[in-house]
Amino acid sequence: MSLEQSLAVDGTTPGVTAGPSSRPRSVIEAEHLTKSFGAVTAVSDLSFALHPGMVTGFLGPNGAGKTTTMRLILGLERPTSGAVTVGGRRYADLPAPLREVGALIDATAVNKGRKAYSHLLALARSNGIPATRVDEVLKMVGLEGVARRRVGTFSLGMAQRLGIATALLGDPPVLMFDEPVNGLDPEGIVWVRTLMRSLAAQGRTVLVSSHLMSEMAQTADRVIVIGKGHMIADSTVEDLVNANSARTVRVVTADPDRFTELLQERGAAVTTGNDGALSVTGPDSKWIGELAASAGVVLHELTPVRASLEEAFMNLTQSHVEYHAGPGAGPQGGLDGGPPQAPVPQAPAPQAPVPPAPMPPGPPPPGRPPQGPAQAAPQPGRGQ
Amino acid sequence: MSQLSTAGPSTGPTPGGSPSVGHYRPATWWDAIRSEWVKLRSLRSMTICSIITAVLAIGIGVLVCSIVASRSNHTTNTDPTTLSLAGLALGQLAVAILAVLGVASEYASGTISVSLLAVPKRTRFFLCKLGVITALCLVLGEVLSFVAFGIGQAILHGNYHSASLSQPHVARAVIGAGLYIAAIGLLSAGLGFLFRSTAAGVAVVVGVVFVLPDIIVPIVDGVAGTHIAKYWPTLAGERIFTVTPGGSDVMAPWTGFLVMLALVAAVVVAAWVVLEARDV
Repeated sequence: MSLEQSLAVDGTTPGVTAGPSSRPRSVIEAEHLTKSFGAVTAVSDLSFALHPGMVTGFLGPNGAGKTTTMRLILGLERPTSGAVTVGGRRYADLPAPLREVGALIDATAVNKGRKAYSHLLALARSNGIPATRVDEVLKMVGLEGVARRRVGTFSLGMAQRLGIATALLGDPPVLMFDEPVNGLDPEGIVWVRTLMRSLAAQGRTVLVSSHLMSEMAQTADRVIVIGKGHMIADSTVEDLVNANSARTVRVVTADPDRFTELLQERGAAVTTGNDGALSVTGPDSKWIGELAASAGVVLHELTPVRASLEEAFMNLTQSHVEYHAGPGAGPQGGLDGGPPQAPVPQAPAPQAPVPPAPMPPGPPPPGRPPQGPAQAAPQPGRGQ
Repeated sequence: MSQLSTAGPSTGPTPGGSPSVGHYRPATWWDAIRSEWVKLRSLRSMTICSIITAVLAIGIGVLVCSIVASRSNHTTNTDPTTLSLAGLALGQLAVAILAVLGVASEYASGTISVSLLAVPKRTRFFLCKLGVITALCLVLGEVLSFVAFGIGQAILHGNYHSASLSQPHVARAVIGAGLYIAAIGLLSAGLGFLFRSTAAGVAVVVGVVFVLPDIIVPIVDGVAGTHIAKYWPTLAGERIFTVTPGGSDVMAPWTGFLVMLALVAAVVVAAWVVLEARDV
């Protein structure tokens, strides 16, 4: 059985029509969620709701409280105050929790002496899930060949796949993944990304935490950003980037000096890069293009440079980072895994250079692939 | 092959039903018991501990009975039932390790989080885990007790006085030895939940069963020492092994066993309270 078949729970048409309307909505709602460990407040007054049919990215620097929040949702920690429900119920009150919520919290939290199959079978049994489903999920994540091997012999990437299999075991409408791409090779990362997208496309509620912004930019429809346990932002990726980054336009012209003068006369901030390109802050590309045309300046390139989600995130969380690197490490210190920022931030997704003037009117090119219902078709060949 | 792959364009429910559509039965206590059994039998340490218990229980019993039977002049007058069950007194150590491991390995590996995601009703999880471990120890204890008794009596027969199950108190002692092993298993599993660590759990159970009575009883003189020897829960519990009635400084078999069960109950209740109250 192929992955797309097994994941296309509702089939082709029922999934789109009958499924969401007949299925009881299982969505997560947190209200004023607070959790303190002694004097340390790990999560502070978080309120949010997760909606079906989309991937929600859960972002924050290390120590921001992402894992604690997920554990609160799953009833592994008890909130100091506030409440969180899954489909209107506390997690512990779900009649068969693995069929309602699938979660990957810590992929290495598996008894090393147990075989992968036995680990999943024990979990399946506890929720009345048929044993055949164990073979199915092992196949989905590509571990069918090592099902009878002890988990202690697995690499971190294989352990992640087993953790994902655990989450998928009950075929739940709500899925939560804490740092799912840790330890995966590039192919595995693409696989996880596609899996998240296809799970959401099937109408499921997907929450994915990460400290890697670039990962979220390509996966999430919406992001919740927290820092030191506090809510910092809850919006679409698009809005987050727009609201938290200065917009610049890269301009390459045959006459940089004159055009710089022109721009500065009209109040735009202009800096000249090493390659002679102008970086213009203030006006948008349409305005710049029109200015060039009216002044008779030849433009070779006119590219709106959108700040990356990473940069927006950094601007947002600067004051909320729990563990700062020492002085001189730069503003991104404390965000492990984040590559050093280039002076000119690049959006993580490939940016098509905008053809020279005349500028086509319209919105700036998106920094990430279009997403939404149109992308619902699962990609073939995953995990096979 | 799967209930999911059959989902086609038809609007009716697919055979077997897709779980995510909400047509599933709630998880039951029996589901949790089956889950715990899978966990227990899929750990190599469980098999190893069971084998060690069997080797100790039968091996030591055979050894003791053979030594007694080979002597021409019998200086001891030990009860033949007690002789044949001598191995279980050592075998309980392996049972204790098995039971502590059955619980504490979840904490050591972190699997406890996943287990409580699957069964978030903690009382259910707790009782099913203890139940399955205790049941395994009970079966192990009873089988080994009867086997050790049978082999031991066969060795003693003709060379020393031997016992049979039809004699007074003998059946109670043999069955009681199995019950005692189950009680040790339950105690150890409870300690596993309480300490969440294999090392701490094993250390405490070994201390309670073997070390402390052997250290404290000889050094405490007079009435206090006698009382400790009489009421120390595991010493009192071991009275159920014996056929011959003791004097006034030992407890009656069932009374002694109840004293031990009181300790077991206290540990289990404490472990349950702690599991309910703590974050994972």
